Amino acid sequence: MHLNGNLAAKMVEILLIEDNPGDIRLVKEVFKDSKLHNNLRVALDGEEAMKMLRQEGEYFKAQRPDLIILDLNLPKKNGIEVLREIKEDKSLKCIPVVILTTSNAEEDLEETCKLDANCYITKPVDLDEFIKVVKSIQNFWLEIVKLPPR
Amino acid sequence: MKEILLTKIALQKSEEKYRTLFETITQGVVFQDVHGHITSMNPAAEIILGYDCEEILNKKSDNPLWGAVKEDGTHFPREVHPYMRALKTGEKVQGVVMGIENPSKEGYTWLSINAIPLFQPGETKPYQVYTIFEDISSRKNMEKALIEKERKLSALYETLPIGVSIVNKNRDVLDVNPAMEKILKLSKEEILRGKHKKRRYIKGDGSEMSIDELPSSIVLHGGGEIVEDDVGVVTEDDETIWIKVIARTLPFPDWKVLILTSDITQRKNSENALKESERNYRELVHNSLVGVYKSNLKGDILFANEALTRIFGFDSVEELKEQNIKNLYKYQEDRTSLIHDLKECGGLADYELEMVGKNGQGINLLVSASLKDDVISGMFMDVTRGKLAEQKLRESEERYRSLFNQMSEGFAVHEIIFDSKGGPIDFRFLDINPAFEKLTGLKKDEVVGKLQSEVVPGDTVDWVSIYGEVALTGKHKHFDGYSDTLKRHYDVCTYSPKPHHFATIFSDITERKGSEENLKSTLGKLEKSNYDLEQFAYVASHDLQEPLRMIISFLQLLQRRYGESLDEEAQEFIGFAVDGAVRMQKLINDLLKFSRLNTKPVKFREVSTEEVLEQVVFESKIFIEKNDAVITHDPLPVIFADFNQMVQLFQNLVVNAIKYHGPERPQIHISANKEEDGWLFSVQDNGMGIDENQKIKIFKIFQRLHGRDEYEGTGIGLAIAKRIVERHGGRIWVESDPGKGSTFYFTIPQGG
Repeated sequence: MHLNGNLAAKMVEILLIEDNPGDIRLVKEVFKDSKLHNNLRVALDGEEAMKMLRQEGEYFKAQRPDLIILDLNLPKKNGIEVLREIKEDKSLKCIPVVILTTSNAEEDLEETCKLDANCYITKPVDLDEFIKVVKSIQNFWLEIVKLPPR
Repeated sequence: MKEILLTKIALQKSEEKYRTLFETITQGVVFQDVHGHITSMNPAAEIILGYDCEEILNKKSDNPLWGAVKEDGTHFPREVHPYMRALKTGEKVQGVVMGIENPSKEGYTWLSINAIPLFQPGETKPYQVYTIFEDISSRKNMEKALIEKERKLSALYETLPIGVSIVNKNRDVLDVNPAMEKILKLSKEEILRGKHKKRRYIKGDGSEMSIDELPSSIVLHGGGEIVEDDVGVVTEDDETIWIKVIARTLPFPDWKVLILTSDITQRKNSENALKESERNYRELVHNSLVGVYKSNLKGDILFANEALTRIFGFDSVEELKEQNIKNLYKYQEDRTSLIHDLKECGGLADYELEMVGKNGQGINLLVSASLKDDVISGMFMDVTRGKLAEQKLRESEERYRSLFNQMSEGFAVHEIIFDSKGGPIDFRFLDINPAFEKLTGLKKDEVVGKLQSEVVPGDTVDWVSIYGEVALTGKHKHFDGYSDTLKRHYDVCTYSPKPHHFATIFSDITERKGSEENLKSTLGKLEKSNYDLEQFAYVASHDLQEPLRMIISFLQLLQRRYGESLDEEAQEFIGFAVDGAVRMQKLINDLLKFSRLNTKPVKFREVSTEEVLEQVVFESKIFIEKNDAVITHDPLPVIFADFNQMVQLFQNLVVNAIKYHGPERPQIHISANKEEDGWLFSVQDNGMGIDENQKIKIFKIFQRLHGRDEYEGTGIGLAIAKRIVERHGGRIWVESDPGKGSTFYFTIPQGG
């Protein structure tokens, strides 16, 4: 497999914005098994996510992520708002955002598409399917796609 | 000696002869010595120069005394003086023109001078010069006058506002003046090249004029000394220039004809306009329905038109003119007072008269007339019919009056009251009908003659500005209004029968208003409930699924991680739990799909049902192949529907038909028939069929006819199909022969 040049040696930073501990656990399981050096950090709500991304307060040392995995149904600030703020922020809008959500509502798909989400995935019910999906995200966005420099 | 004497005598004689010549010659002769001093001169010279011999002897002829000038009036330099030139060159100088000041004359005396040098025998240098000169002043002045005249004539020619052209015997133009260029709208060069000859000419009556008919041609062909005519010249731009042309012969070999041209386009146009206007008036008078006449005070009819003849029932204008107008009056005193009034005022209008026609029939007329120079000019309008109409109007008025009294709508007539600036501030009730009393509970004597501010003082509706606009603009209005004073709602129609007045027609809609309010509130509730339903759909798609996913995922994780340490029964229990959760998830998704059908608007457009079927076959390819199904169809129509919903409908029916197949290979046939107001589709299968008592049940949501081990699915497919058809305004049903197959029918109306 061809490895993304600037990521091959480095640690890959992933920000998972998700409030469901079950899903966090499942995503972590998949990334733990990955052969990539990765650092998966989790924001439990929209506000925390934005603080991390903007390196505010306690997160002043937080690394800027290479990939954001974003749930839509979030406390405090929902996923749509988070997505809008990311895409309106010059320094953040280049980071690919993968929407990973339970919702298969067309409204959500349309809305996130308008806001330039990089892809939209509905969380599969089946465990195997779910693992496959998270692995595909990892494979496509971290190994195949050439990512912009941090 | 004798010879010498003879010679002397001969010399004397000759001397005498020359002296006589010298004394009597009309030319002036002056002798000058080698220095230019005048030594002698003859009497003619004295006269011409205006000085006595003594005064100028020994003066040089270039003396400033003479004030010599050249022909052009500048100083005559000494060195070119004829005598100087003769002295210097020893040659004759001839025909030099010089002006000098003769003290006894005004202006210059002009001389033509010849200077002749004289030589001593054997000498080459002259020892004296004599100049002979004559007074050419009168000739010179004549010349000057001629030049002046020529200059003036030329200026006249150039500035003359009349076009002048001169042609030769071939009608080629030799010269034109600027006025001609302007009239013909051509430059001199163009005219000289003959461009005007390519133009069309027309006569005063508009007919074509040939070249031979042009005045210049007539003159050239000897048709007259002076020929005059009006000619229309049609230019290259199709514009007609009207010109008056006078051509006359010239007595010169090359200049044959002189043509004088003036532009009369404007006159011609106004002439035509006048003719047109005259004709219009003539026709107007002739064809008018109003009788027009002129008569004198004796009663003789001087002029009458056709209409007047008709009004009085005569056969012709001539027959009418034989009458005395007095005889046409029913009452002579009418004529007496008409003439009296005319004499007083000079004119009158709309004077009502009763007159008598040829056959004695009475005629009601309106007369307008004027009197001038004892001639009455007037117009008669027949209003006999108008009188009849008045009668009819009265009857009609009665009819409307009875309508006014008996109609069930309230009717009122009002006038607007204005403030000092002309803005409406109130209105007065002029008349109301009985229905008005009934609908408002107000009595006629409480209302008529009263102001709005007195009758319904508590009303918040600004009736005045609404009605004010109607009364001022004349535009009618239709609106619902509520009277706080009367506590009633009214449907009001208002219009303006005449300026500053308005009428209202109204009915009491208080009850209708009440039910409208109810309807509005019900609609509001319905909208709210619909909104809630949409919210539910969204929540269902999102929040309800998440816990389910958790259950399923972690049960599966449990099974995978710890499966080996669990016994068979525990594995089975986990399996049941997972199955249940998966099923619940499907149910939620189907329920969501079903509810979306209600909340999402149907996007109607033209849809080819053949395309719909192609899409269905494409999407269900694997399922069709797996079941080895054959799908056939008749030509299918284009309908007005929502494409995606049509795909869903056909898919559900086709998949259903395949799923519940019989022992034979599934065969599905789709056809469509044109009905009166739309299309009837049918999906026929050779499947297991449906029992009579199940036929209605199958369209209910989550209704299953078979155990879940036998057939997959939540039982929503036909419920969705039914909902789609209903959303399109159609109907769906099934006919079946158990064991042989079923046919699903549905209709889609024409308009969607």
